[in-house]
This record gives sequence, structure tokens and C-alpha cells, in this order.
Amino acid sequence: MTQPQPTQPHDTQWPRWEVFKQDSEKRPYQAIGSVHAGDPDHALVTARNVFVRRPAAVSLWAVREADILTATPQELVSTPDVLGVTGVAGLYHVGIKKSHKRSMTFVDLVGAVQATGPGDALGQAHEQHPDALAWLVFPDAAKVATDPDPGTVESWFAPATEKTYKQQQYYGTIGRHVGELKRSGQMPGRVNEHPHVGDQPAVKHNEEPVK
Amino acid sequence: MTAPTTTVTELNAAQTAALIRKLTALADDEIILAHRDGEWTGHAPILEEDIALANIAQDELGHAGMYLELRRELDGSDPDRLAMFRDAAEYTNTRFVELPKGDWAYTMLRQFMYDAYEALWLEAAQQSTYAPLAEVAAKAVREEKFHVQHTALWVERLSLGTPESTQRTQTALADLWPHAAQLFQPLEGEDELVKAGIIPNIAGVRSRWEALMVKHLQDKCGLRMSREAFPGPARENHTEHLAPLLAEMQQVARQHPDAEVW
Amino acid sequence: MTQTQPNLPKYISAGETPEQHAAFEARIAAGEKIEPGDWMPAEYRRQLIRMISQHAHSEVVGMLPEGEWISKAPTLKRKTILMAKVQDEAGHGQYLYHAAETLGITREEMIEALLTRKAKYSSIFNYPTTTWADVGMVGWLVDGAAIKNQTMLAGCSYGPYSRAMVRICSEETFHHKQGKEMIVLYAQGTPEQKQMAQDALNRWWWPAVQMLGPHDSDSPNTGELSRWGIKLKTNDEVRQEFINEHVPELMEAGLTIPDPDMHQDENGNWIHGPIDWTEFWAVIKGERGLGKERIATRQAAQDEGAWVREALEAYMARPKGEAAD
Repeated sequence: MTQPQPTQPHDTQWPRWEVFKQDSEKRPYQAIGSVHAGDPDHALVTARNVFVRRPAAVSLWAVREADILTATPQELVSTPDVLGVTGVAGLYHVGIKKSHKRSMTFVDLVGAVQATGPGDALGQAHEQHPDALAWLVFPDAAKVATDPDPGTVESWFAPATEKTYKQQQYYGTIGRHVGELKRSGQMPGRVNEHPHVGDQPAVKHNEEPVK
Repeated sequence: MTAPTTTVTELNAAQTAALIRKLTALADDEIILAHRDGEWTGHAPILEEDIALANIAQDELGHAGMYLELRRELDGSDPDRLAMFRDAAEYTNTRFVELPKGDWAYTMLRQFMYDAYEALWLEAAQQSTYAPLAEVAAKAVREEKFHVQHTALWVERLSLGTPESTQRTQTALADLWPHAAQLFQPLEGEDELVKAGIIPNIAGVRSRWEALMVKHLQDKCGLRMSREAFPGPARENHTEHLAPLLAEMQQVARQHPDAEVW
Repeated sequence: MTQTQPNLPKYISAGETPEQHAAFEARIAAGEKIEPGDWMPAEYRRQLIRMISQHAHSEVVGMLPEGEWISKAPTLKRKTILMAKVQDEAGHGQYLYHAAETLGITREEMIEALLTRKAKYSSIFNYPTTTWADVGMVGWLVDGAAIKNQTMLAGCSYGPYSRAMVRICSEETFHHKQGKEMIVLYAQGTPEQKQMAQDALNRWWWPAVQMLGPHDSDSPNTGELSRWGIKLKTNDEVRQEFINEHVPELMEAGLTIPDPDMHQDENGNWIHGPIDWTEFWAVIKGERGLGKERIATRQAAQDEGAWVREALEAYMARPKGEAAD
């Protein structure tokens, strides 16, 4: 990520906007992915269409990719110049990645800092969260947010909870559950260490494939 | 908001028949429009819009299901039987929704005009004295409010985009406008339902809708609007486009008329 | 392509050192995720772009065979479910393009590569869907096989790819279950429905078994992909998991698996008979199947959408004062 090169070829797929979703009032905004959209309002509507097909959400932010600065610990060492990136002064939101665990989100937004520019904001983020696995900052002025009024929340986010046919639980256990098959001995507990083709082993582990 | 008081046992025979007609017409519009929208899935101008239009289509199908469940409570009819085993002559959707999907401008504009109508109708229907309809309206109106925002946004961008997109949107409006009037034609017995507070007065919905259309399409998007009122034929009179649509939509169900489960 | 240096394995590109590679592999071995700004071997980046974009294209082209049936679904509920499923595939393509974009390629370039057939996608989507039951069978078998792969990839070493996969897996289980539900119902339905389900199994069983890729002995990229924590299991291992899970359930549904040699070994694994790869390769090469039609369909959507994409660009570029209000 870091900052995109200004010399990118013309892209008819529209600019990319990073999307931050808040699942409930008590949860932080999380970076969940991006959408391609024409302008701020279109980006928000599109974010809702793409990322709120299922519950849960109470608020969305979209930020043009070009307005976001990120770094990993390795980058701070290899390209320290990133801390000198200049831009507008003001309030910057700070996101950090906290763990290597499996997750569908990148950073959580953990607060905001007053900074002279994106590089400064990144430096402050680093100081405040030295153990983070990645830092992400963007100016508050660059974000576009869904309206917090109850009417918007109701019409943008609430209906997704009723689309139960998108949940696997909706389909119950048709046929027997894998667990039941395992218990009755019809399902091997684990897969062969040595996969077979017909009755012949296909590969030996930690060795070159069988030729 | 007045507390809904009428219950199904209090509907007289004429009201029941009229409400069945109304619910079916509402559902038929939703089924046919959702079908047209579904034709875009996999073919939209950009991936994000495949997703967006599929959301709208699912919502409309959901509304059809809710209307037909209300009908089932009245006459025991099966929603899927109604959807899959009626011919064009028995369908009571408007021509407005059955016309082919056209280009993206046509699809977005039709959806905007329809969403605005539906949102206004549902908003009023939340006050229905018939509690089951008031409940359904309260649910569905939330989705329609989002649809209108989405489709209004698209119509604005296409109208004010390139000369080509402006032209396409203008052409779509000229084609669609005369057909929209059919959405506002009262059905047989509708007056009686309005008097009993069961459904909103469609004339009131129409005037609010027209004001909204002028505000958005003319004032905001700069499109030329015809101010002529077109009465339109009764809902049983379809264009040549409905029969092939139904032939495709109903083919699997009709190949297996004795199937009990799907 | 970068020049290989003498005496170094070919996955070490020019300008890279064995020490850099060792440190990179140590990070992966320690369970760290690689993020976009981190150092990574050029070949790691190249392989990921190849895999992720191929995966994204598979989702996008994968909308087409089932998408045809949205207009024919036999009930309102099935129509809604199928729409949601095909929509999810668009969403999954969208997530995956995003993951690939973090590696420095644009969606524009990837779509171009798909439409000019420089990029591949899973050839399973070049098979025709000929009856409604195919929708169920594709959900049960093709999505069932895909989930096995996706679950593995959710644990892969590249952060954005892993995150996309975790999200995809959480959504994809519904695809599998709705397909299974359909087939189980039809297998108990009218004789015609049961026949339709069996026919669908006959046509989709072998393509599903094959879609998990060539045997490990014929899979050229497996070595470095597993070294870098991209591919955590071999094709044959994933295939065995898929078969073990699906064979008993298909049999329980009352269907016959079109493999006379299918049997259970002493460990309980279901062992398939020899796979005839001729058709698989013929479909990949485009000698059979609907490859041309699928690309033509995507090309048409791309062409017909061009004026729409231009319109939004023009709207964006309007002087601020003109913004409508």
C-alpha cells in the first residue's frame, strides 16, 4: 500500500476507497477491504452494497486510497522516509494491526492524533503503539461517513439481519452432519498422510513429488 | 400514528376481494421488476454494481413474498403457485416493469422511479388500519429508502456525466414516463379499501411522487420532462414482452407440475 | 522476468540474496503474515498475483453458469437464494481483486489479462449447466471442493489474501449448504427430480474431483508455494478431504457416485478410481467447453459498461461549483 505512484496508467475501474466498518457502537472501526467508486457518496453507497450484504454494521467510513498512509515495522526500517511524508495538517485517524491471527480485517482504528502531515501522524502512531504489526493513518477531512441518524442506520444496516437465507444456519442439517459420520466411523478422523491415486501413493512428504 | 384497529375478521367480502387484488398487483410488479434486475447479475458495468443491483432485486423479491403471504392469510393461496403457474393474462403487473431491461440508464432510471413510488406508498401504508399490512410496510419501507438513495445517485451521475450518458438517460425517461402512470391507476374496489384506511390513497402518493420526480429529474439532473398525463391501460393488458419473460421464468416449475418440494 | 543468478535456485531473483530469503522464510515459519509494504521475493509476488487474480477471475466467470438460472428458478425463495449466491461470487471476486491490488497490479490490468486470455480461471466454469439440478450440484460439489481450497488459503502467509479468504469462507458455507439441501430434497422428490439430481451428479462428479488440480506429481508450482506458506496442502490431500466428506453424504442422499472403483481403505479414506484427465485438459485448452462463450460474455459486459464508467469519471471531474444541489 503506502502511497500510490502518481504515474499510474489511466484506470477505468474508478478510484479505490478503503472501507472501515463499525459492527456496533461499542466496537472500533475496522479496515475490511475496498471498493471502486466514482465519488464520496457513491463510495459509501457502494461500501454498503458490498460489505453489508450480511450483518452487522452501524456505520461505514470510506477513504480514498490516495489519502491513506501505511507502514509495517519492516518498512519503517527500510524506508524511514515514510515518516517525512508531508501533507495537510490536522486531525488524523490511526489504525493498527494487532496480531497475526487469522482475521478478515486489517487494522482497527484506535484513536486520532493532531499532526502536521501524514508522516508525522504515522510517527505518532508508531510512538503510541510501538508493538503494532502495521500502522495506518488518514486525515479526518478525507473520510466520508454514513449518517448516524437512526433512520439511516435502520434503512442502510438493519435489513441485513433479516436476510437469513445468506446464513448457513438457515439450511439446518440436511443429510447427516460430518460430526455424526465421524462418530459412526464412516468418516476418517484425518486425511491420509499419503494421498493415493487409485491404490498408489501420489506424493511423499518432504520429498520431491513422485515422477 | 393511529393504532391499527381493523383485523382480518372484520374485512367484508368486497374488501377481501379488493385487498387480494391489490396485494397481487403489488407482488406482481415486484416479481417482474426483480426478474429484470436479475438479468444484470454477471453483466453489470462494474463488479460493485453486480452486487448492488442484486441487493435491490433480492429486496423486491422479499417484498413480493411478504405481499403474497398476506394474500395467503386471506385466501390460502400458495405464493409460488401464483408466481409460477399464472399466464400473462392473469398477471397484473404494470407494463412499466415488464419492459426489457435496456441499458444501464434505463435500468437505473426505472428503478429510481419505481423505488420512489414504492417508498412513498409504503410510507403511507405504515398507517394502514389492517395491521398485517402496516407491519409489512414498516419493514419494506426501510429498504426502499436505501434503494432510492442509490438509484437517485446513479440517475444524477448519468444525467450529468458525458453527453452520451445524458442522452441515454433522457431517452430512457422519454420511453418510461408514459408507462409510469399505470402504477397509479386505482384497481377495482380500491376506493373502498382507502375509505376503510386499509391502503393509502394512490392519488396522494402520485402527487408526492410527481413532485419528487420534478425535483430530482428536472431540477437536479436537468432532464426534460413530459408533463402530460398518460392514463395507461388496465393492468391485465400487457406488452409483447411479458409472455416470453414468464415462459423463461416458469419453465422449470412447469416442467415438474407435480413436484412438492424445491 | 528477472534473470536468474548462477548457482542459486530459480526462485531467488536477480538482486535478491539467500540471506533475504532465509529471513523471509523464517518470518513465515514463525507464523507471521506478510503485509504489502514488507520485503518479499519477486517470485513470491509474481506467484501471488498469478494465483489471486486467477482466483478472482474464477469467481467472476463463476457467476455465469449459475447466473443463467436466476431467471428460471422454480420458486421465489430459490430465486432469491440463487441471486444472493451469485452476488456473493461477485463479492468474492471483488475481495480477491482487492487482495491482488495490494501487490501493485490494477484491477484494470487484471481484467484486461482475463479478457485477452493471458490470465486463467478455473476451467470448471466452462462446463455448461444444463438443468436446474446443476445449480444444486454445483453448490454442493464445486463449492464444496472450493471451500476445501479456500479454508487452506485462509491460513496462507500473505495478509491480504488470507483476510479475503477468511471472509470468503465465512460466506461460502451457505453456498455449499443450499446446494446440498436442494440435491437432498430432489433425491427424495418425484422420479423426475431424482433423475435430474443423479444426472447432475454424473456430469459434475469428475469435474469437481479434477478441479482441485492435477496430481501432486504433475503440479509444477507446489514446491515453492508450500515453501512460502501460500499452499499449505497438496492438491491430492485437499482432494482426499473433499472426497472423504462428500462420498458418504452423496450415498446417504441415495445417489450413485459415477466411479465404480470408489471404495474405502483400511484407514477409512474413500479412494477414487483412476481419473481420466483428457477432458480436463481439453476444457483447459479450450478444445471443449464454453471457454470462448464465457470470455465473450464478460467482454460484452465490459464493452457495454464502458460508457457508464466514463460517465462517472466525467461526473467526478466536474468543477466543484457545478456539483448538483
